[in-house]
Amino acid sequence: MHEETQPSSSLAAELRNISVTYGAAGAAVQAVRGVSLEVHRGEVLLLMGPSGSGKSTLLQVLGCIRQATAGSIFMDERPVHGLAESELSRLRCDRLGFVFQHYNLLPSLRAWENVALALELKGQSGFQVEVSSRQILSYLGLEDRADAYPAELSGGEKQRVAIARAVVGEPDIILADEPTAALDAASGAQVARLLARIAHEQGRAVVIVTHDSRISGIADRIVYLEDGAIRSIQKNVRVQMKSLRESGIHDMEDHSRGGADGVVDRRTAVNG
Amino acid sequence: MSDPSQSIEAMDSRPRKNRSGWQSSVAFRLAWRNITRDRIRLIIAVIGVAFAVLLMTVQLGLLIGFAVTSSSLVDRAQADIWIVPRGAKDVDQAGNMFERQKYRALGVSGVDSVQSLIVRFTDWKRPDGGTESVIVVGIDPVRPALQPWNFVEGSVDNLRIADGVVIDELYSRKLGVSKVGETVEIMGRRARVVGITSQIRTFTQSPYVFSNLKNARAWTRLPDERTTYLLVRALPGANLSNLRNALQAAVPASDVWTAREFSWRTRFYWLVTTGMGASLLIAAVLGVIVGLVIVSQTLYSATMERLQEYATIRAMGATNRYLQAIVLRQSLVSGTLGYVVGTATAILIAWLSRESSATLMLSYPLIVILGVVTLTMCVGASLISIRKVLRVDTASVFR
Repeated sequence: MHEETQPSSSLAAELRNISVTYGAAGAAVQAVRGVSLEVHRGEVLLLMGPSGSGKSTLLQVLGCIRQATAGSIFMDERPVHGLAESELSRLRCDRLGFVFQHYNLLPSLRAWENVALALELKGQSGFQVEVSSRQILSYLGLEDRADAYPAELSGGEKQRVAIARAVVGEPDIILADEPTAALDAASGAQVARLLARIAHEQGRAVVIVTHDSRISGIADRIVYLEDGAIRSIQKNVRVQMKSLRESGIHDMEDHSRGGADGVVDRRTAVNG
Repeated sequence: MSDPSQSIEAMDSRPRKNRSGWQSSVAFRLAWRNITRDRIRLIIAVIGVAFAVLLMTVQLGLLIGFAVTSSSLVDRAQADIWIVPRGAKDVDQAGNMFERQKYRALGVSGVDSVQSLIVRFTDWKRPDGGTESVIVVGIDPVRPALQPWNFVEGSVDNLRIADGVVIDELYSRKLGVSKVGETVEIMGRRARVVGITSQIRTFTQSPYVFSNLKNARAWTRLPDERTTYLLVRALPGANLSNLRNALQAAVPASDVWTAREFSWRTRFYWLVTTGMGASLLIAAVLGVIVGLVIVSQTLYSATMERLQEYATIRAMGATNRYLQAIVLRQSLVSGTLGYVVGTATAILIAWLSRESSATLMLSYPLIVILGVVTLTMCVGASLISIRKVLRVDTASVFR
């Protein structure tokens, strides 16, 4: 499936015909089947689908954490497949930021130190690292919580620290795995808005794997996966949701399940 | 949340107070807190390392102490070359030889002087009637090539007094005398304490009793024409190796060693031939193994608990080297703390045992070497944990 082309300068990453197979030949399970996808700067892309549909595997491939069994991946139009582990580490450090469902903050480090870790991995050191870390926390409304340990933070605060950690290195792409799943509705909405703000204001690509249809309103595109393949892609979601809200329609469920304007069925697209 | 319109770049110039200070890297803080937050685990690791360090230090301190003690007569003597009875393995237990070889030795070019020295076991009868084995060291008190050292009371000149002996205060209780002027019997003949020294230990635990050559012969029943050793002083600038060879040719019935050679020969005999050195070394190695196992085990369990954290750091782009450094620092923190505690305890034990007959000899080189051994041990102990961390499945962060 090929979407309408955007200016190439906005292309942050591209997956071409990616397949991932787990297990040995006899008991092989194909988690992702021939997925092609472009990720653009400044957009929020949601990967949705039922459990086992290949969302997380696709996120891992995009995050250079798992090697695809077949297909190619490009970052800034440069091939990533075949790179050595050390080069992939460098790439993750320089170009990618991660946000996890369970925050994955290091409990032995204070909030600002968790953020500073990302800068240290990029090779930065000195007092400026602490300054930058505190500033990004302040930007995310956590100025007073910078010296707290993760155990002293609420779920929403932890996730905002995790987002600060993902953003502080100024990556091209932020990959978030179920970032709102462990949060209450209010905190989840706040985190979702924050991720959208990062994408739209800072021009970063934000790719979110989620089951949470409540956050579909922040998405520019929603990719629905099923059995490891793209079932459909819903475009211009945010714009449509905004217009729906303005017209007084609040039921998002129908749209998140597909079928509304802007949703392209993969079979239709493939078959022309 | 603060004003979203405020850009990050715009905030960079805002002055900030360094609240916690940036004195160490995040990796170091992480390693430090990982190892210090679980106090029980830290205490176990530190005690393990401290015990290992203590065991190594004490055993090696004893080994060095025994080595130095066993050859102290050779090392203290003002002699360049020793002429010894054929086959003599150590300074305390040699046979005897004709003293007239002295004149052949004096005829060798490069020899300045030659003096007799008698070193022989004999029996010491205490004032309370008990008997102790002692080693009588007979010297020439007029021109002594070897003389008692660390005098607490008296001097070497007192050995000119008939029946005079110099003993060490470490063995005063064993010998049953503690003051100058007290009398005892040696091999049924009268002896009088004329001097007391400090810290002259003996490896065999039979105390050295210094006297003049005449008394020594009488108390050990050594014929007048015989001696135990001949101590040779070389003329300044003489080549000791060549002189030793020349002396060996002059006195073929005896063995000739440089002082350094005879010192090592004595140490080798007591520490290697008797197996004593091996037993001390085995105990020291045991200390290394104990430390290795304890540090390795505590570090491994700490690492396993935090495997998900390492996976996160790896996912964020950490290199193998960065991850290794975190584990290694934890190991080195335990090692350093254990080393400090263990070394301090060993120094305390050495201080407490300074008045005992067993020498626990600690030196700066030994302490430094054991520091290196300890840290190397900790590096070794961290290998299993490092291997585990480097093999962590990064994708596990998404589960």
